[in-house]
Amino acid sequence: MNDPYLPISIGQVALSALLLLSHVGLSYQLRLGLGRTLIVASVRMVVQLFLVAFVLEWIFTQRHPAIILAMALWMAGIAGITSVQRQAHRFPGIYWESLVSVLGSSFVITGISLAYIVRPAPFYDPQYMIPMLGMVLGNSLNGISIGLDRFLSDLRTRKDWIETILALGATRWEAAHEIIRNAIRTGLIPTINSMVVMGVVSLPGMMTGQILAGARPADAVRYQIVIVFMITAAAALGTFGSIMLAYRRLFSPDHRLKSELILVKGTTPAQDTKP
Amino acid sequence: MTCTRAARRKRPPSTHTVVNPNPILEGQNLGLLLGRRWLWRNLSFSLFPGEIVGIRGRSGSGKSMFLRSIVGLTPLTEGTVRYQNRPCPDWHAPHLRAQVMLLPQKASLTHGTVQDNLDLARRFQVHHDRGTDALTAIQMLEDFNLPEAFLQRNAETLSGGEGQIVALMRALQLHPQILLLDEPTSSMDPHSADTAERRLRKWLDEHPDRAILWISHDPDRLERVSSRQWPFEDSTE
Repeated sequence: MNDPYLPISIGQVALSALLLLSHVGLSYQLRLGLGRTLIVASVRMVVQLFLVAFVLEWIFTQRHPAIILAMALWMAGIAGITSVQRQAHRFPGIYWESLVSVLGSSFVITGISLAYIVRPAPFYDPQYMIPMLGMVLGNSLNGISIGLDRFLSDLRTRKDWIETILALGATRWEAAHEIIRNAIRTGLIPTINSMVVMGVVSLPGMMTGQILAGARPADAVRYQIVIVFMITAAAALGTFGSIMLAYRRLFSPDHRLKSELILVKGTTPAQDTKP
Repeated sequence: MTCTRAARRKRPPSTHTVVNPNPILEGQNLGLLLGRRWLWRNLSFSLFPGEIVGIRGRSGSGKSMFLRSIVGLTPLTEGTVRYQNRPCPDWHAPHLRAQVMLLPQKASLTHGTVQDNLDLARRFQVHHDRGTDALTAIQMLEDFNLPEAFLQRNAETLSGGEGQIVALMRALQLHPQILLLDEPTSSMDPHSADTAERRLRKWLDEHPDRAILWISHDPDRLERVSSRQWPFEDSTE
């Protein structure tokens, strides 16, 4: 066997698109209104993936660390912005703080993993760094997005309770502790859930990909385990970081909840918002 | 509005007042700006040991915000409040709030039993030196004609008035020096409200340094409990 895997031609790719036709037909028949959405989503997916393949092909030929770093920063930037765009609540500085959390958590974890665990040479070899960073960023972004959303909505809905215990003499940490704990837990639930069922209910995409590409399942599993630990660590670090940064911004050092800073997405602050 | 100017003496303060002629809480030229509107401005007041001062005024005139600003839950735009002759911002906020305790109008309780709610604040660093105060709790239950089994009730099933009783018990057992009460009996039935009023009077008389600021929309009650009343009005600016 010359190739470790069976290459797929453009024609075969086009053939696979036909698999969706049955759904599109069903949607038109039952007037689900999903046909157009399905087609648009499919076209987007195909175009995005071809573009990314094009970019990756180019990146993998690069050896200059600055170019690879620029690509990594661009990916982290998109992840940081996306993590905020899904939020139902906002506060001044949320973009900056989410970006710092996504970037910090994913770069630290990916950096340590590449330098000390996987150890490609050089450690920033884009063939390893870019796909691993991508997976780490995706999970870190999810954790931050879900955790921060829970934190901000709890601060709004439980404002009376928080201020009641602050009035009883609680420090800002004592007043926020339960809400911080719940938010971090919520942010990590998807990652932990997927870890629990991995290999039993779901076969991880990366591992499946490696096996299809000719890797031995035993080798693919090792990679997968490393990746799962990386993404869980990054999601935990990112979620924790983003919530602690939000906590420090929304609770003043004189132990006050600055609820006036929390806005519901799409609204503007009222002129007489009570501080 | 200047509280001291508008104050009118209704009844002599408690006999303890003469012990300490200096105010324990006072504010000079306080102002609170909401957006572009002054909620109130040039507000000055003094609270002396042993007295209950009633605060009245229409809804939205800023009475609650006034109490919140004293303990720093809402920052003042102008002026400073002094507690024991020391500016409030110079106090460590949890220590200040353990001494000058605000009871918000809406009683916020945690999940769990009434007892859990009473024990809650003892977990805070500022109250660490306080042991469990079962006797005070039992005594307060007797004052409110409540059975001991009340302590095991689920706090989430309490009525608004019962919740206010628990919030009041929770504050009293922490032995603050000043109580800032925001309509503390508004959800209680008349009998419970009268009981709460007597309990608060008793609490005040137990120690000469204590004092109460009491917001209420019930003119008869304010007339009865307070030695002075401050009318609260919107700032015209």
